[in-house]
Amino acid sequence: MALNASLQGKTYPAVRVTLDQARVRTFAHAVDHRGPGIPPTILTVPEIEAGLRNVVADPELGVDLASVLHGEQVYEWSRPVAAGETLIAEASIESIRGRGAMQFLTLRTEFRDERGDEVAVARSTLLIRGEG
Amino acid sequence: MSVRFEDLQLGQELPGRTRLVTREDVLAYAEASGDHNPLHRDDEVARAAGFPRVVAHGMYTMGTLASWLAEWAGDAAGLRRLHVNFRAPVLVEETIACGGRVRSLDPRSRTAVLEVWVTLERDGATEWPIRKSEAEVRLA
Repeated sequence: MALNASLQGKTYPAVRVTLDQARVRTFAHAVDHRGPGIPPTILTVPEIEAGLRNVVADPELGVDLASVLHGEQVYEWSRPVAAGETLIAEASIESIRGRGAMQFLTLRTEFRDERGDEVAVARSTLLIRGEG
Repeated sequence: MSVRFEDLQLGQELPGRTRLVTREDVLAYAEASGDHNPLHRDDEVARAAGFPRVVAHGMYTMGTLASWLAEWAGDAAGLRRLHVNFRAPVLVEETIACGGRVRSLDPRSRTAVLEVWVTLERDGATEWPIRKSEAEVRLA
């Protein structure tokens, strides 16, 4: 089933996520982070909460997690993130493109700190396999 | 031992890094990242999707690449941008190799644009889980 292209531009509610020390340590160990700082891709934690979690639960989209592949990912950092920090992440559907049984959904997520300053931007392109 | 901008040349390859992808690390990554897709946990789900066993998250592989680049930059603020294309799965118990090469240098901003990749060897052939990808790193 084709994704509803009219959902382009849809923005999901912003989420607040605190990067607690224990989670950061587990993450760092898993990706073999040896420093300095904490793993740059720790942003994946708020990104999933703000974006993917909403996408797979969105009845207007009807996406089954089992049919989703990750095609492409971009992060642009304005500054490094620290353990213990709280980020506000907001995801929106930037584009929906179809190509036969394969469709592409691009999510854009903005990360801000509690002062409202931009920390980073992420762009995630999901490949969604249709039934065709 | 961190790298200095002046030491870099166009086409230069970064010292690579290899990493055995263990089931434990992939489980820990799922726990820490909040991505609980069973494809990364359950061999039966992975087999039903056409893989011989559990597959690592694309973001696990990208995370390993990003942390290696941050260490190479020697500064937590060094990695400015990372754009990856996921081209092949990584199975648990495989060994990934992160690599990169200097594509362009901007002396004014002391920024290097790198071509980056992640490869692995499977059945005598080289697979490219991350290919044609790019990082922008600002150096001391």
